[in-house]
Amino acid sequence: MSGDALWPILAMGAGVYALRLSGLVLRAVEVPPAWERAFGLVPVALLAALIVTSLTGSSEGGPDRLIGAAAGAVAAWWSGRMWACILAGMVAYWLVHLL
Amino acid sequence: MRDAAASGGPERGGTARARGHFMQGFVGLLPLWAGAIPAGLAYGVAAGGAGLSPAEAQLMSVVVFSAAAQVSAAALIQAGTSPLVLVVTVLALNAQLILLSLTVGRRLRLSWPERLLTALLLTDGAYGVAAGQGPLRLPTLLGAGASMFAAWNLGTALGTALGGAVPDPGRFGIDLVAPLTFLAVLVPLVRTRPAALVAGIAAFGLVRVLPGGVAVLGAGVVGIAAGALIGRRDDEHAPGAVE
Repeated sequence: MSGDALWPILAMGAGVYALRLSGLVLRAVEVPPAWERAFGLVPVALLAALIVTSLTGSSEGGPDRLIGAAAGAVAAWWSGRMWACILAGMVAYWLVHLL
Repeated sequence: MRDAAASGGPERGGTARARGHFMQGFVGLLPLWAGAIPAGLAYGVAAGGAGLSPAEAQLMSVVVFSAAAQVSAAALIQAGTSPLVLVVTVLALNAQLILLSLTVGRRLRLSWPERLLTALLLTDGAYGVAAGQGPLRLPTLLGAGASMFAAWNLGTALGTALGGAVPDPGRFGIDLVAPLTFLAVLVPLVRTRPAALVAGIAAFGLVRVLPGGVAVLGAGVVGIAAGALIGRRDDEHAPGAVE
């Protein structure tokens, strides 16, 4: 991978910079409320899809990963904290993996 | 600050005041370091697991500077996604930055150099902190943005160091860190916005029939459609809507 990643990283950087700059330049543009709500749902849909692909895409997509993810989801629901979600998920994964 | 350039006195006073507001923003964001550093750490570990070198992982934190985008990029790189799909997905994931940018653009009257500088450091967290400290000021926003930038890059450096210390990341399930990070972001969203569930379920369906990266992008399109439909229904039911 090393070296190959440089151009995609720079392209992502330029794109995200353009997004951050866009509204500062086009300040008079009005976004319809329906579009604003739609924008809000895009990350949710993308993240849900990314979770599924990264849980099932792996070579050994065994139940230990799914159990880890379930534990993480429960921790995220209860605590709302990222570190709690990652910790709970990894501990559950390691426990199932060891047993 | 620009207007005070005529004489030395007011200029110096304006600079001192701007520095004060910058520090106010920087310090005001410090409580968010508690979330940004662990998130940066998780990204650093995930990036290492995806095969990025520490320098590449750090470069991404400098030029992209977005948690959701970077963790997704790590997961997509690991899945062997093509560079084009990777870049488009990451940008779609950050489409909301346009709304944030518009909000700031309307509230602050900025010169071109100020716009170019602000766009480097603009995040939701920094805007929230700066807007919470009285009238929105550019130096406060930049101070808060710089504070978040420092925390995010510090977390990344810690994460790549930690990831590098683990000899065989795959064996320890390090690649599980990326989906767990997404879950931590996603679960509260689903909790506060039931409509999000629609998009999520659609995404689950799409992933089964399309190849990885394309399915993720398709899910984004479904998200837009679901949001527009739900939005229209809400408008029809809103009080005062024309029946």
